[in-house]
Amino acid sequence: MKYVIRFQKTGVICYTSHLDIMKVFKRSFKRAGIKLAYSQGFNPHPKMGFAQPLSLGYESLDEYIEFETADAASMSGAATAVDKEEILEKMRELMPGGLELLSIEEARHNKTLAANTIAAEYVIEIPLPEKRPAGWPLDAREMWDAYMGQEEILTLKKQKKKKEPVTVNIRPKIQEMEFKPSEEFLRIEALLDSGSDSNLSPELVIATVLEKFDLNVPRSDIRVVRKKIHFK
Amino acid sequence: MQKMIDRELDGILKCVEKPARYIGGEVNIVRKNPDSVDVRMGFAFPDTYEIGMSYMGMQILYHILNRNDRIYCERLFAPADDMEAIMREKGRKLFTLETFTPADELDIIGFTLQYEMSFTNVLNMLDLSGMPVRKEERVKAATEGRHMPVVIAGGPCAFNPEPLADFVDVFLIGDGEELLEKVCIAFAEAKADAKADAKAGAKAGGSDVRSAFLRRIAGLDGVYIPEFYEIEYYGRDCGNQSGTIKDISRLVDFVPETVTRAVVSDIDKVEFPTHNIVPFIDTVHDRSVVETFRGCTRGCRFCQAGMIYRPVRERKPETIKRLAMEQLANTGHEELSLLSLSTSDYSQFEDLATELMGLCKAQNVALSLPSLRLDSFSFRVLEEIQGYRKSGLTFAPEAGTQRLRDIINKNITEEDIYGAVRQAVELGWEHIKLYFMIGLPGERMEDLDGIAEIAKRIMDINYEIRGRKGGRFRVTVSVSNFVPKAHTPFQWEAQDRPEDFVEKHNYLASKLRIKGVTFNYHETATSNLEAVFARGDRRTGRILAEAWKQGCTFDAWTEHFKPETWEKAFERCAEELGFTDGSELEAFYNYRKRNEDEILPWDVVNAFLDREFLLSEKHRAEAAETTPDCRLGCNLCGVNKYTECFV
Repeated sequence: MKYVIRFQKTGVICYTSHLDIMKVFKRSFKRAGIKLAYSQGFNPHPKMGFAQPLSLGYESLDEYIEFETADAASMSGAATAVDKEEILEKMRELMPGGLELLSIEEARHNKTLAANTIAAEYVIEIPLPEKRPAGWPLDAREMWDAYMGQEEILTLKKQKKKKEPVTVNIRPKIQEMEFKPSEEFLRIEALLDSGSDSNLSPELVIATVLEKFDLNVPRSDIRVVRKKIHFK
Repeated sequence: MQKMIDRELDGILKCVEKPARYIGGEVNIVRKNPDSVDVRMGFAFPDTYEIGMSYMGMQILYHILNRNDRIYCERLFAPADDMEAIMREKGRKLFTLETFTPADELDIIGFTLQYEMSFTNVLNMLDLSGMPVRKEERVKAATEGRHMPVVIAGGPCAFNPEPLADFVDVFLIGDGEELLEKVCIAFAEAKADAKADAKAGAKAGGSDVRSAFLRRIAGLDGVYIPEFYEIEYYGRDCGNQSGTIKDISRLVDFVPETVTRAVVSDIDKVEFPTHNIVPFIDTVHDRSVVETFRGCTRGCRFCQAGMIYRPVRERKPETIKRLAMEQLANTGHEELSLLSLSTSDYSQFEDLATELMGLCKAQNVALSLPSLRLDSFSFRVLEEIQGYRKSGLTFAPEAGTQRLRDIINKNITEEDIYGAVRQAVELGWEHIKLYFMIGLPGERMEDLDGIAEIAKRIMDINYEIRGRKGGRFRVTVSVSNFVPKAHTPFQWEAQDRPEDFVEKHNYLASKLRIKGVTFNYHETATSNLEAVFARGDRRTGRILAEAWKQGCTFDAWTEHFKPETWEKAFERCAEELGFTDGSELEAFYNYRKRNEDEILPWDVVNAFLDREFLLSEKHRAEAAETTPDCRLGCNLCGVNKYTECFV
């Protein structure tokens, strides 16, 4: 049986990497007595995966993990299929603080969630420096025009394999963007391409926004929350 | 329940490597309302999170203390240097992982001393907590009205507490399971008394809690309070006694003349964790662990653990199985390991291993059995638990010839090794690891030749079985430098000088230039430094403080170790301690054979070992005579005068 659990990752646990969170789930399934189906081969892995990895330091209100349970006959202690709400309840009790399980569904698609992910909504909160840039706060519309009106938004992107970063145009990968400037904060809500076909990291948006509006804010002051993942 | 952190810490965490080291919140951590307890303790491991979380002793004591509603035990680790730099820049104090409380707001900070090379980290963590590293200055600060935690320390290095005597208020020597809780409760009582006194109008202040506390615990077995003992030294012109200890005397009558180590007599009844904290990030070991027994009967003469953890005390097989299954159920770990000084020496080992293998297999859990004695049963077990994924097979002959192995009383013969290797190669093992020590008392060049000879013979056995090409078979020879330790028959011995070690390393490197053989050795300077603090007296604390002030921390890490800074620290302290220069100072502690009647700094600790026993073992070593395993008959070490031995 394939299931999808929707969950949130908020607070300090955002400093735990997505691979480590995967380990938390794996061990929690084990503790809950929920047997997962395993891949074949020399190095069998439990069949589970996230819709989309979440960068270290990001919080999220809308995360998904899918997993496949071993067939009912091999389920520990239970002769019949386990009720999905029971899975959720058992897992809830075992989660560390900051990982809140919201709901469980039976998986509807044949493809993996990762393959179905197409976009993600992010909220980016940039606190303004003591020394405000000239003319601050800018009008939201003007900011949009200035940033989104560019034909190309060029920035350097680190390559996975090569050492030299390459220049990329991120504009086509920004689906929607809203600037909400206030006295203390610049809040940005962005819908970005996400998934295996086309993907844009919010880090590149942050870098280009800071550059465009001449904001001198250390990256460590900026908070990013993933609000929603969009599927096909 | 979720902990909130402030914006500053949040920003710091975004700038450091592996921020999850600093956030706590792992599965099975204990959450309490700090206001609801009587005493707050910070259990401090003087190394990084990844090292500290792999140490079972912390899990044991964390579990025991937190069962008590009056105590809240939280964890403290040494931040990595990127984190430390930011903390210092922002004036952020070392904090507990459970509640982010600054360490200097706790009642007690308790360090575990697992290896000497972590000592500078002890000082650094105190400093990062905003506290003076020297005890005297902390007491002074307390009398001026500042809250100052009491600093305690335990673990194997506490068996020679003197190098840290100026920095630590109280040492706990021996098994901590019962003692540490008693000490925490005594602190709670001392606090309550001080409060009652204050109400009654008597004068009360921070330092009064401390002295009341010290008086309450002074008589407990295992408690050593250095400020109540005075050390007197011989002057410079006293011949071969120069600079050695003349007398150790008590300054007050409510402390014992020698401190008897604390011992848990029934290990089966003592609490053991079943809800281990499960780290988020990868640590050195992240697995369920059950201690099968404490102590060792083999009597290797270089081995401190084999001496100070006597007598052998076993957990019952049912207890071990129950603990293992509960831990696995509560952690979801994918691996189970057994903890002891010598896995196969457990009296019902074959039955236990067989049962655990079955239980683990049913749960898809890997079983790891370290330090197996390689007999036919072990091979069957290893075949079963490792299957086609064979790890290397490890042997620790420790010395290259039978004569030297007899001197150190390491009961393993070359026939044992070659027989086991033959079997291993036939079963498909492709990697043999060998551990040796150099610089052992009585060592000759032929013993180094012996090391190369063993490696070569093992390669030959492989060629014999696998044919001329030998497959992918390889042998790793790891050589460590002998460090004489307190409370062992070799405690009087001189250590090799750095140049001797280097010469021997080079000699071995040339001898071990054999195809398929890898040679590793331990850094010389670290071993010489470790030896200073393993047998150092109270005065060596000055060197420690000086080196730390000049920037030494994480000395156990090759990339952080600063030998030149240490050398300078010896140089600077030499005159003050009555030596002409740094090398004379180092020579005094390391390269001098001590007289048998010399008062040793750790004589203040009674580890249950009769001096006559240690001396007789020393003399037998000098005559290359072995002493049989004490399961075969009592060797009169003295332990059974104090506690029930296993026989």
